[in-house]
Amino acid sequence: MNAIAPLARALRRLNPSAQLALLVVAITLVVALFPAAFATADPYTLDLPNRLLPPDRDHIFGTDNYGRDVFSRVLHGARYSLFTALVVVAFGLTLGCAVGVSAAASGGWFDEILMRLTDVVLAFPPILLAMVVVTALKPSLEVTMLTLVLIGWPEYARVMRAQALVVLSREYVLAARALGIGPLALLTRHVLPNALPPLIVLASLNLGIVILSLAALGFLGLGAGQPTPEWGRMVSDGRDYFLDSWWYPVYPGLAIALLTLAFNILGDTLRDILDPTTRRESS
Amino acid sequence: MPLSRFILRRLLLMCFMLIAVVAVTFFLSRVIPGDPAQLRAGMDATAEEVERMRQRMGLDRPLGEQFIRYVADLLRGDLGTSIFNNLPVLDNLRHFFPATFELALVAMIFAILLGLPLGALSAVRHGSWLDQGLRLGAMVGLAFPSFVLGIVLILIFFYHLDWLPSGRRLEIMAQIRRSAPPITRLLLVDALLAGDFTLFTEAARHLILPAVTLGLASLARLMRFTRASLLEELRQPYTQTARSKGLRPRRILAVHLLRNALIPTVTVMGIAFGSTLSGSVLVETIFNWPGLGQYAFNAVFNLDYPAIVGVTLLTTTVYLFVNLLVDIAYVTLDPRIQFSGAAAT
Repeated sequence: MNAIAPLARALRRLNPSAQLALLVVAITLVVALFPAAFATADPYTLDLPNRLLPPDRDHIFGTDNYGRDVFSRVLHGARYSLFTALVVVAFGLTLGCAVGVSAAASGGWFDEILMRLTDVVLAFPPILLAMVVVTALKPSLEVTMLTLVLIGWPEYARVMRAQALVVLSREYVLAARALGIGPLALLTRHVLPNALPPLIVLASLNLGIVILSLAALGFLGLGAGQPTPEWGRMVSDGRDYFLDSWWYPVYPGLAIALLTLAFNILGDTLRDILDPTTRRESS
Repeated sequence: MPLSRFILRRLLLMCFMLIAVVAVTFFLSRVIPGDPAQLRAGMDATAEEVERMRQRMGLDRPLGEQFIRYVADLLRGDLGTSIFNNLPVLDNLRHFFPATFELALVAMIFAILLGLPLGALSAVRHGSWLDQGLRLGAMVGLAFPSFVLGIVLILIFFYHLDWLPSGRRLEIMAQIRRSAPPITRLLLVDALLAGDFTLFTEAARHLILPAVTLGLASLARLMRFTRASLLEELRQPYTQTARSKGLRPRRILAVHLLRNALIPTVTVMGIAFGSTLSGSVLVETIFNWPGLGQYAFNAVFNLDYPAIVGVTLLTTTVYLFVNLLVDIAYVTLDPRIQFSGAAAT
């Protein structure tokens, strides 16, 4: 009870749009964990006589060209958007932090090579680079995720490196070193805590971008394969029927937009709270 | 450092980036699943024919030599042959580029013409309901996937209201071939050059839905950025001074603030143009717009690797070049920025 009270107070202090965004993410999380508990039908069962039915009481989002229930498919698709995006951002963040810290700590030519590498990755328009890599490696959901990690890490690496350089030049770090602090303790006690706030902000803003990219690649046919109810893929499949069956592509599309919007708002809110330099800017 | 030295340095850096980008695509083309020689020779080719094709394509050579040959080919403009239609990729790119360029340009103009004033309005009315609404609109615009927006716009404005055509540039291209010579192959420009205004309006009407779809995210980004940088300027002491001198707010805004606020916005335009170009992959397929995007989409569908690499190289080059221009514009516009400082990032 005592632990919940300050959390509730903090939640109440957030502005209404951030509260709403948090609610959307929380609901998506629950749905992604237990889709079967909320779905009204099996997302894979074919029912050809009832194909492309408009939304009604039995199928509140209508049915697709195989007679599958679009509502249930959107619910089951939540995990392919939310969890994959979380995994992609987590791996990108970890890789970026490792590269950034080692670049800052070693300096010299090693630093130079790593930073030029980030330049090269950032020089490509992201969607096109993803297309090239995914096609080269054979399209699948795993390859798409790996590709987005490979495209995403440079941004984190740069922020991490800059933060590490600042911290490492501080006098208290010099003092800690003189007292014989080990490199690992230096990293966990001084560098990481200082670098974390901007990295968290960046990661939360990137969650929205990753969700959009995953959906875009799914739309291009470069993500999960057919029966998987991935949202981008569903929009792409629905494209052939949309003039007469608008519900088929539009509902999964709205799901992508809503989740992205929620993460963008949360990212903005986190930036206002955690990043003192831009605080109040967007308020 | 003088401006010419700065530009020279940035050009050299750009060459380095291009070589690195080519190296990445070369490396990826060697890990691609499937044997390129087999693909070119056809699936029913004998082992002997495949081997001959491999020799002709130089795939039996050491990797270093292959890379040098690859770069040399690129410099001669040889981007390989599209597996899909068996034409040189360069010819394909030349054929499809104008449609994408025209679309991206119109989308950017739309984004700038609406994004800057709306962002400024939002900053000036800071905290009002209008500001809140505009900010929410920008948030939604950033989150809405272009390929969904396109579908929704077609449903509303083409299918239900029947106000606008759903892209379909080919309809216009057929008309223009009859009445106007294809000089620039940008339909709006060609129609104007031929003095055919009905054709011009028709081409413009076909452009509206795809351009709005493609430009909306950039519009939202520009709005947010203009608002933030204008708010920053509003807090500066010189704004106070101007106000206490008795200048009218509108004059302060027009003369003092906008110029300063727009300088950082220039950098966002570069980024926005890049995302507009690569975003065309998603938008063109929906609107049946025969440009690079649709070409790339078909290439992905057919696993046509040379074609995908061709589109990527072209787009990345344009993207790097636009960024160079933006950097130059940035240091020229803002005397506070040192050339060396800008070059280091």
